[in-house]
Amino acid sequence: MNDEQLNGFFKAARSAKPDTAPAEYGFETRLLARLRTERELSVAWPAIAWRLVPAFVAVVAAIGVWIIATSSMNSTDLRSAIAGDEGEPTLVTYFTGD
Amino acid sequence: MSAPVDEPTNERLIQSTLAGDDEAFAELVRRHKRKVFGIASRFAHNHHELDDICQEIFVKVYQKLKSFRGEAPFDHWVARVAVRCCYDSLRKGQRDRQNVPLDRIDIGVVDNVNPARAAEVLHWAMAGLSADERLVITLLELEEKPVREVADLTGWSESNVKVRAHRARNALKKILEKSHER
Repeated sequence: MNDEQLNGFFKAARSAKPDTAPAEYGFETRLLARLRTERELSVAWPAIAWRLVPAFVAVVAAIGVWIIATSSMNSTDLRSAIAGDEGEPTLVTYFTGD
Repeated sequence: MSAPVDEPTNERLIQSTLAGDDEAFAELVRRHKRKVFGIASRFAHNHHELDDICQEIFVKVYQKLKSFRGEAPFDHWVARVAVRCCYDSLRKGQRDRQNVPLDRIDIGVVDNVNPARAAEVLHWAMAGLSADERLVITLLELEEKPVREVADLTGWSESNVKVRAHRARNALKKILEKSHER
């Protein structure tokens, strides 16, 4: 294919101007509706985020309480194990190999 | 008899839009949509896609309106935003090669070909080009814009535009030749 043939394609394509009238009809209305929706969403998101703050704080507090409760339970078990008679036979077995 | 009401200037409409007047922006859109649709229609496959691209362009115009300093005419600035959006949509690879049967196109007698058919074939062949090549061919050959204006619209240097156009033409020739051989 030479340049002349390619230019022929361009010339023919140029003369076929796309009809944009159907897409242009009511375009401003659709565009403004979209802009309003986007604006509302951008305003709504921070408000929703603020409303979620108490719930988030409650979840964090619950997790904190659970961590403290479980760690204190574990330490109580350890102390009782040491204080009781269970520790000594275990130690003797360990050192003597019996 | 009442005096004719002066049409507000673009600058005035921009100020009103920035102050929150949606009707002022609608008027700006009304004034410039013909040009934007003209540019975008070269990149879109159908009216639905054209509407999407044009909406994207005017949403960008709305969002960037604050940054318009009036150094260039407003319609140039809008055209630049439009070209940038079309380029972005090309780069996103939204356009797939359409299944246009090419066996009935005779490249030797292309001047006698129905213009709509030639546009269709060209559209198909251009889908095989990179986004850069497609943009430059569309602006230079289909929109018939001078190299300087293409450079201004794309932000590329004039020599860069020429180099890309040369490569794009060669690539397009190859694609059309290949399809003709089939």
